[in-house]
Amino acid sequence: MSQSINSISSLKSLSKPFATPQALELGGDKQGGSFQDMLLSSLNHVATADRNAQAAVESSLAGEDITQAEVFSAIKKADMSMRMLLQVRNKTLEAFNEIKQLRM
Amino acid sequence: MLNAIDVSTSGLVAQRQRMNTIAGNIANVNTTRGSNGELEPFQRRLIRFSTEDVSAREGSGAAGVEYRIEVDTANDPRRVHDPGHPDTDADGYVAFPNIDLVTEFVNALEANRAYEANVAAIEVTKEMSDVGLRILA
Amino acid sequence: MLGSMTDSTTVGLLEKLAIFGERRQEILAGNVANIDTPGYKPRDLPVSEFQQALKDAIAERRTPHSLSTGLTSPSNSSERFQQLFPEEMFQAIETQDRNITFQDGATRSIEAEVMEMSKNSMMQRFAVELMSAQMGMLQAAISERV
Repeated sequence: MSQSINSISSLKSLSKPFATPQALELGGDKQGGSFQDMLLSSLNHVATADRNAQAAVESSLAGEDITQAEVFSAIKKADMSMRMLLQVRNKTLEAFNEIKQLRM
Repeated sequence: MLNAIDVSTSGLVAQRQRMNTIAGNIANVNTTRGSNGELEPFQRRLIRFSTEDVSAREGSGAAGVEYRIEVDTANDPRRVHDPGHPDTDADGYVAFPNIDLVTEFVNALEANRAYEANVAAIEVTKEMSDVGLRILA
Repeated sequence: MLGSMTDSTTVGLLEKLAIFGERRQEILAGNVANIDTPGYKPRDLPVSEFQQALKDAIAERRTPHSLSTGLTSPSNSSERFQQLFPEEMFQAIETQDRNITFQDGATRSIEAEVMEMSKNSMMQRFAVELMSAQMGMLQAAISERV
C-alpha cells in the first residue's frame, strides 16, 4: 500500500514543472520565476526523463538486472513528460496567435 | 521475468524424468533376469532431487532443480517360493524385484501434480508479462 | 534522414532484437513440430553470440565520444551494425545444450523447446513494444499533435 502512495508522489514530481501558477509573469526578477525559467526547467526535465528511458532500455538490452516494469515505466514517464510539454507549447502558441490578432 | 520460466522448466524436466523412472520400475516389476540374461532381479531405480547452484542464474537468485537417477540399494529382492519357475535357485525360491506397485502409483500421482503446478507457475509468469505491457499502452 | 533521427535512441538495436526473435520463433516452432521425428537434432540461432553483440553495441553507445566525430555515436551507423550483427547470426545451427538423449539417438526435451518458444516470444514482444513506444514519441514531436 505504501508503495502505491510512493508512486503517486513520484507522479506529482512529474507535474511540478508545469504547475507553478506564479510563473505566468512574463520576464522579470520576481521570486516566482519567469515564464522563460519555467519553460527551460521543463525542457530539462523532459531531456532527463528521455535520458533515463534510454539508459533503462540499454540496460535491459545488455542483459543487466533490470525488470520489465522498470523499463516500461521509464519509457512511459519520458513519453508523458514530452507530450505534456508539447501541449503546453501548443497552447502557448495558440494564445500568442490570439493576442497577435487582437485589434488595438 | 524470463528467469522464472527457466526455473519452472527445470521443474518440468525433473518431474518428467521422475515419471520415466517410475514407469521403468512398473514395467520391470517381475523382471528376474538382467539385460545380459544372467540371474539378477531388476533393481528399483529412484530419483534424487537437489537445488541447483544459485549462482548459475544471474540476477534474481531463483534456483531451479537438478535430478540424479540412482539405483535403490536399500531394498533387497523379494524371495518367493515357486519351484516350478524356470529361474529358481537351489532352494526353490525365485528372487523378484522388490518393487511395490502401490508406492510407484502414488509417486506417479505426485509427479503428475508437481508437473501441473509447474505449468501453472509458467502461465502466471506469462500473464504477468502481458499485464506489464499495459504500462506502455 | 529517418536513420539519423533515431540514432540517439535504441530503436536500431531493438529492431535487431525483434528480427532475431521472429526468425528464432520459426526455428523453435520447427523443433516442437519435429519432437517425435527419429534422428532429429534441434536447431537454434546463436543466442549467446547475439547477446554478446548486443552487449558490445551497448558498451559502444555508452562510451563518450568526442564532438569531432559528430553528434551521432559511430556505433549506430548501419555499417557498424553490419559488423556487429552479421548475416550468419541469423542462420540456424544445431544445438546440444538443453536436451536429453533419447533411444533413437535424437536429443530433445519437449518442455525445454516449448519454454524456449515462450521466452523468445515474450522477449520479441518486449522489443516491439519498446520500439513502437519510441517511434510514437518521435511521431508526436513531428506532427506536433499529442
